[in-house]
Amino acid sequence: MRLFALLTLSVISFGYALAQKTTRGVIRDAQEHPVPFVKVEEPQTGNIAFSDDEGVFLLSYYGEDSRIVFSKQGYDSLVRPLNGEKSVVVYLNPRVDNNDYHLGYQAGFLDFKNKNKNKNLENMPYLLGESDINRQLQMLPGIEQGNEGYSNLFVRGGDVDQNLLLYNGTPVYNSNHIFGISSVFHNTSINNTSIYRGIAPSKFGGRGSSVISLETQKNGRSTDGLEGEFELTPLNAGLYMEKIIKDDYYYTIAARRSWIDILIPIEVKQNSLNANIYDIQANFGKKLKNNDRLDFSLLHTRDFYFVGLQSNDTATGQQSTFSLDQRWSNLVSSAKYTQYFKDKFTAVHSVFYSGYRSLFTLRQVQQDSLNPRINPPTAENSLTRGIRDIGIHSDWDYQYNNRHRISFGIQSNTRLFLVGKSEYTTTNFPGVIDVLEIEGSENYVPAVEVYIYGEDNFRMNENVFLNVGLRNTIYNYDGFTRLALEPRIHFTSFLANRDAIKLAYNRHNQFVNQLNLGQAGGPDNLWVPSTKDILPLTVNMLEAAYERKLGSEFAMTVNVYLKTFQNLTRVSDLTDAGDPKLDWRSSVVQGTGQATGAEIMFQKSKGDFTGWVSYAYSQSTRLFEDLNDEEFDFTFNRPHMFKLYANFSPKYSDWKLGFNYLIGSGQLFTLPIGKFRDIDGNTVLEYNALNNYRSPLYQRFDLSLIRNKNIQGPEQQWRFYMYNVFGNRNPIALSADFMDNSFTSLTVNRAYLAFVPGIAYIVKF
Amino acid sequence: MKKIKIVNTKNVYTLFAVVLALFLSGCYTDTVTPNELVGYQKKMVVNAVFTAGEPLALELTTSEAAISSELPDPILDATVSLTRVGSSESMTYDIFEEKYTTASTLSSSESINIQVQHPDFLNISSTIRLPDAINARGNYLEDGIIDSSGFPADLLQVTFQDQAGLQNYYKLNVDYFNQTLGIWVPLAFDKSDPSLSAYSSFILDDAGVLFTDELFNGREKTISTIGPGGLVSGNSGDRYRMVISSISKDFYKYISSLERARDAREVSFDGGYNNAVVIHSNVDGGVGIIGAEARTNVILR
Repeated sequence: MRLFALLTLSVISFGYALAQKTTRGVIRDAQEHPVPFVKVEEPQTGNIAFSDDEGVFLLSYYGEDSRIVFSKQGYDSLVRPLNGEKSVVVYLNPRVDNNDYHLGYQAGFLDFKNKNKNKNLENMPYLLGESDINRQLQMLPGIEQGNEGYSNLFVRGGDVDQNLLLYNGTPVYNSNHIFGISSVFHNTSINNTSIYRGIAPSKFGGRGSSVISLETQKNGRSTDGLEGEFELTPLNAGLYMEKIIKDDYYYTIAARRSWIDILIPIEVKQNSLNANIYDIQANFGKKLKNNDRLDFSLLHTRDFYFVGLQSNDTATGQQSTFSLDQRWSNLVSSAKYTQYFKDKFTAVHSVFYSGYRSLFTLRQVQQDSLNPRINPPTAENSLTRGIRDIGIHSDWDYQYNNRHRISFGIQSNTRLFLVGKSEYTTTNFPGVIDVLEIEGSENYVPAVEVYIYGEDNFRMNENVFLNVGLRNTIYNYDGFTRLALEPRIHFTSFLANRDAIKLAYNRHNQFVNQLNLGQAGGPDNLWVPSTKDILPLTVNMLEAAYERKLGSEFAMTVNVYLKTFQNLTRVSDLTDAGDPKLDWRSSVVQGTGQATGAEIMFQKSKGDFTGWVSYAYSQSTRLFEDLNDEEFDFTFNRPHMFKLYANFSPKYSDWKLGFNYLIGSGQLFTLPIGKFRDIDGNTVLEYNALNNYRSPLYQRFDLSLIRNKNIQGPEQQWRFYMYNVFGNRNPIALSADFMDNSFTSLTVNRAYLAFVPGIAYIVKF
Repeated sequence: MKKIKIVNTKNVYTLFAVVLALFLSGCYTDTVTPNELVGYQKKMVVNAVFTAGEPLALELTTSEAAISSELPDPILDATVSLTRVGSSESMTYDIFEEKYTTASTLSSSESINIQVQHPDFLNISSTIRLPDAINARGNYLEDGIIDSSGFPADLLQVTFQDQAGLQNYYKLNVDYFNQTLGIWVPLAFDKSDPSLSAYSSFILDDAGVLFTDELFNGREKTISTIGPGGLVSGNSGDRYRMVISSISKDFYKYISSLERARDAREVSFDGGYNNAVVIHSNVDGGVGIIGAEARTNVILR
């Protein structure tokens, strides 16, 4: 009987549902920003939906001519019929006193477009004048730069390799030019940079600490023909072009290249000194006739450095050239098909390739200057490292009803690792057979990750939203198989005054590690897979957040978090880890870690003066029992950090001003405090702990001054920068050096950056 | 539209010069003397390995500040006392050995507390327990194996039982007794056994190897190695000795950290994280090691 009743109820519900129309829509403001949390209601029916973080809503309703009400605090309400349309774009008009701070997204999320908007980041001071998205992120609370002056990102006690950096959805494995000084992304081409600092939707995974998503310009306002800019900085000359026909198609092209090497004579470049870098980005997208979308994306970057020395033997006429060159490159490409099914389904199918390769070569060429040969005797030793990632993802959204939106999908990443391939060749030596010796990895070795995930975005009532998900990873490498489950829970509650409280728990598993061979972000650092000996990293994270709008211009966020790490990986022997002939696993140790922190951030998004100010307290520790019995502070942990970014952009002035100010705990280093005799009678150094020395108070003030010239022709801009204006001695590196092996004369040397000027010239067209 | 000349050659060269100036003008170096180094307090350093059944000896030296021009010196006038169940005694300084010694011995599985006092230093203490004895047996097969060059060689084997439920640490040495010279000569033996070549094993300066039981925990283990063919069989009175020792966890960690420190020094003296190695110690209030060892000699032939 009970079964019959249930069946009847189901049939009635199904019939009822069939009688309803469903419309998908996007709600935007006049600047094309998505408007989240708009209540979309069919009056007197109980049919209510809310727009999500992207301003998207999907409403099921009865009457085709029903007058649907769109309402949100701070915006004029709008009433209009949806007429059973498949998709609509709805514009809401903000009131003058509206504070458009976006209270949505998951706890810890930040971006520069929707949440942390209108900050005029082009006015931010940049090192050497190189606009850099990483340096923008470094100014946010909970994100540290690592070594002074570098463009690395350490998020809430995590390492660099724990950031999943996505360029239009595709992972990038080395995002640095010039050994970590500059990022590979052309700032102008990036429409929005967003970061999940630990809590993330179920469709993202595979890294322990953050997801950083870079999206290029796709579908904003239509451009007036081809628009773009030319940029000249001390390092690069760059060009950016875009053409966008709104809701139809777009293409964007960005390219940068260093220009100094062009001035160097060819002979010098071939024999003595050469260096150049470039990056190219090309993106294209088209809306199809059936409203589906196709997007293509390409990124290619390269760094190249060459040093050569020549020696001449005048007696024999022999000329020897010794050279070393180092190069590294990324090739990242993707194709994405976005499918809008009838009514309630949306799917995004994508395939991508991301390859990173570094090559270091030592070469000796012998030439007889009296009788030069076309193919002179050459001996060469090269070391190649790389990683390739081939991905196929299918991500789906299903609007079950006005309260439940289900996200689910299947993703596959096949990573191919070349940990180290050493090749020694000799060719054209008279009377000697050519030699080719290969040591280390001969071929790329695959590791496969398959993810299956599901997530319910559940609106419990008008003020409470619950997001419950599960991500399941199946990993296989060289006979080692691991099944890992990752629960994801996120709870948002709006108080009576519309303040938001968020609570969340996430688990992340990471099956790929980068071994740091001395410099975070360096090109030689090895990407390695998890194995049965080197287990995958597991991170558990709890976070709570409180967000509040203050008046019509300000907003405040407070975040607290607790994070634990299992199976962290560290290099224990630098020499062996970098030697391709040896098994890298013998040179790493695994341990645990913990990070706790509290962050508070105020931001101002309106007016001539905008920016943000933040304070972060954090404690991040590591324990590697094979290194030291004692827990020690994580190298880039700074317990206190105050950051201020402000810019002054008066409407009717040609001058703009920006500055960064940072003050907080100094960086940690490890110094030998003593020396003693070991059991074999040798003198050894005493380190009482790792990271036992914290450098004095970190303080930095950077300044930028921007001058617009719009008198005639295209808009021109001169940007002037100064990094570390007050000349604070924040160490890039600290080294304890003995004069010799007698251990009797030690000096501690510090290197630092101060008063570094920068300049950029921009022409916009 | 007005034609814009962005740069001319002269400007490019000017900018080039500016770029060089930017780098050069912005990078500085200086020398610092951190308080952590200046305020260093000297400690007593202990170096000893207590072996079951053998007289005890202990080396005591000072540590010095890293920035000091002084090098560590022996401490000759400390009070070294040993306490074990039911008795206590002192160690005296032997000027020939340059160590504190006593004729007393310890048995395997026995615990002892060592305390050292000196008016100029913090008191130090350590409690150690000698490992359990190993019951090992050997096997020798003349010309029983073909070596890597394709020649017949002697097969040497030692078999012992690992204690279950504990993580145990071992040291293996192979010696060759030369009848003519009357001495045991350390042999650089083949270490291809998986336990001897595992990530956690370390080859020592005396040609021995340190290893753990992670691959054979709780099971009987046989380690095979190769002796040079004809070396023993051709000389009557010559023989092999396999010395298998159970060592304390602290001693294993000390040796492994020492090995890593030596490797790190080969890279540079840079004070960066990866090159810094904290050398393990089981001495409270000081530094150094009091290792413990239970040794079993297996004579082959």
